[in-house]
Amino acid sequence: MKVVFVVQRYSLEISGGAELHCRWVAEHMAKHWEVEVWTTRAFDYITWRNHYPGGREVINGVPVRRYPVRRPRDPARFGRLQARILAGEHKAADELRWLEEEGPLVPSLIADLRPNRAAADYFIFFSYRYYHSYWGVRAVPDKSILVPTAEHDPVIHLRLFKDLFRRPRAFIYNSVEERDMIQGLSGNRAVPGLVTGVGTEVLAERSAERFRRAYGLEGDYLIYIGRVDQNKGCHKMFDYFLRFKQETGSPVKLVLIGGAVLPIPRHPDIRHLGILPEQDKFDALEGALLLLMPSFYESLSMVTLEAWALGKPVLANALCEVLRGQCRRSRGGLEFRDYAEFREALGLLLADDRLRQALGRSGAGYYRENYTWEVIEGKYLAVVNQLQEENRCRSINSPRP
Amino acid sequence: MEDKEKGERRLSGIYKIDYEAVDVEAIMDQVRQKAARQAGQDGEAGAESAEPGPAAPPAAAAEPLGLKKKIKMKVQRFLTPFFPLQRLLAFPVHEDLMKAVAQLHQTDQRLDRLQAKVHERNLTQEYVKLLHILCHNLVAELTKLRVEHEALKLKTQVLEKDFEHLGRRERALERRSQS
Repeated sequence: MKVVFVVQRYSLEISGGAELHCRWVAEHMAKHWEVEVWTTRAFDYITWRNHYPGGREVINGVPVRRYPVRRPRDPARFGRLQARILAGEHKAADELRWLEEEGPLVPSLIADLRPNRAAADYFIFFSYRYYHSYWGVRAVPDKSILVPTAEHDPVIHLRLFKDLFRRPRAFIYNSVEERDMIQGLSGNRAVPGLVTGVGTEVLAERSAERFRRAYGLEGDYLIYIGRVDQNKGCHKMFDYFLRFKQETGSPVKLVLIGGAVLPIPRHPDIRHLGILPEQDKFDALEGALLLLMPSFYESLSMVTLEAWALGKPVLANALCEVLRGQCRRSRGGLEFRDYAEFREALGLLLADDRLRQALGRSGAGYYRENYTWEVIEGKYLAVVNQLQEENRCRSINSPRP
Repeated sequence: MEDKEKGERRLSGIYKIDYEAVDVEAIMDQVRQKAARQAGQDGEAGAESAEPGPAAPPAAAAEPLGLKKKIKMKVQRFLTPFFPLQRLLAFPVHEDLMKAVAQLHQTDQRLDRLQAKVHERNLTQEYVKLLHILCHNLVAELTKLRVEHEALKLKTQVLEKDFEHLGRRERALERRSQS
């Protein structure tokens, strides 16, 4: 069986989001299928400027075809158009123009889909909101599987996506909340879908001591892993953390791992370490009391799964439905909606070692049951097998010429 | 270590947690209740501290009064009705009041402007509705005209055919009368 993964960017340098999700799934599913990836030449997700050479290459054993982006995104023009579209009445043509402006504009990739439809059994599209998914699913609807990676983003309410969500042959959702949101918006309950998510692999050899020595850290600390960004709720996290320290006098520290696009408050107990190698990241997580996850928009949160894999509890933003749902289902973390709840929940977690351990144990169990690669691969295989079964039934039932 | 144990003992009195089968929802309910209680207490404390306290009793009431103090007290009693005025002159209370009034005035003006905008928007909405109805009517009228136009065209064609037929008949009759 041949399966083509279609994604907006693909490279070893991309360390998060739907792109990493796609790469991991493609690399794991290569054990079961003949896999190929179709993507763009872009590296920068703001402008989609062509960066990588075009043509074919092999990344970690997976063949990759790169298509050129015809026109890079003009962020100012795109921003103006998006603001206008989200603010009020507009035509369907405006939404299509928005889609083109958003990019990555790869008409050559779409043009290649139809002639190659017979060469592949299925096309798995990642990220519903980009050009390649919208036009790609329309080009090969009966062979398309969509992994929407959708969040509670205002653009999901655009009319063109309602149409898109009814077209694919099947869906692979990241979470129950994502499935409910998409089904509620588009009424696509008839399209088969399976809540799957993505697996994570944790390094077996981890040492909190090594991390403490390497970065000169002493005492208890909380950890945040990810881009330090307003969209990720980091401004609230800093505010709440500093207020908590001021009010309770707690000596706990906050360690931040990841690139920063938001100014970080200067405080001796907030340590920003930047982007770290995987080994250091897992060492840091191993030594942390808990993971803070203040993000408002998440479709899954891989780092939360990594924390649970290591048996660490999570304190997550309850305003993000996915995080709240994951915490409730896994019984692996507490949540907060405002400062009062943050103070109480963090105070409780810091003071109660047994609770932290119990939450960590539950989280680890949830991870083992749902997010190891064996489970994820099994779910992808199940979706494709179900479609194959349907194809066979159709061919039996269809009248012979 | 001892502090932690103390903290755990204190928490076990506040939170009911089953460590063998953690129920996040139940814990969050307790956390929310405690946060709400805490917020209520903070609010009350804040309100209490914000309120002016009761007037302090005269400190020197127990001491025997001298002539100076007696005169001072008499003068003060005499001036009691003017105390608000004295306070007003001594403390810049009026400035704060003036600032507050100015801010209220500005807010009022902004509200007026917003109200005007809302009114304007409502008007525009009504105009748009009217234009929509007008367009609809225009389309209906144009459709009717088109139908009428088609009917007239057909009638003209019929008349033309009649005219031709009559012409042919006329010519035939002429030929017959001549023969």
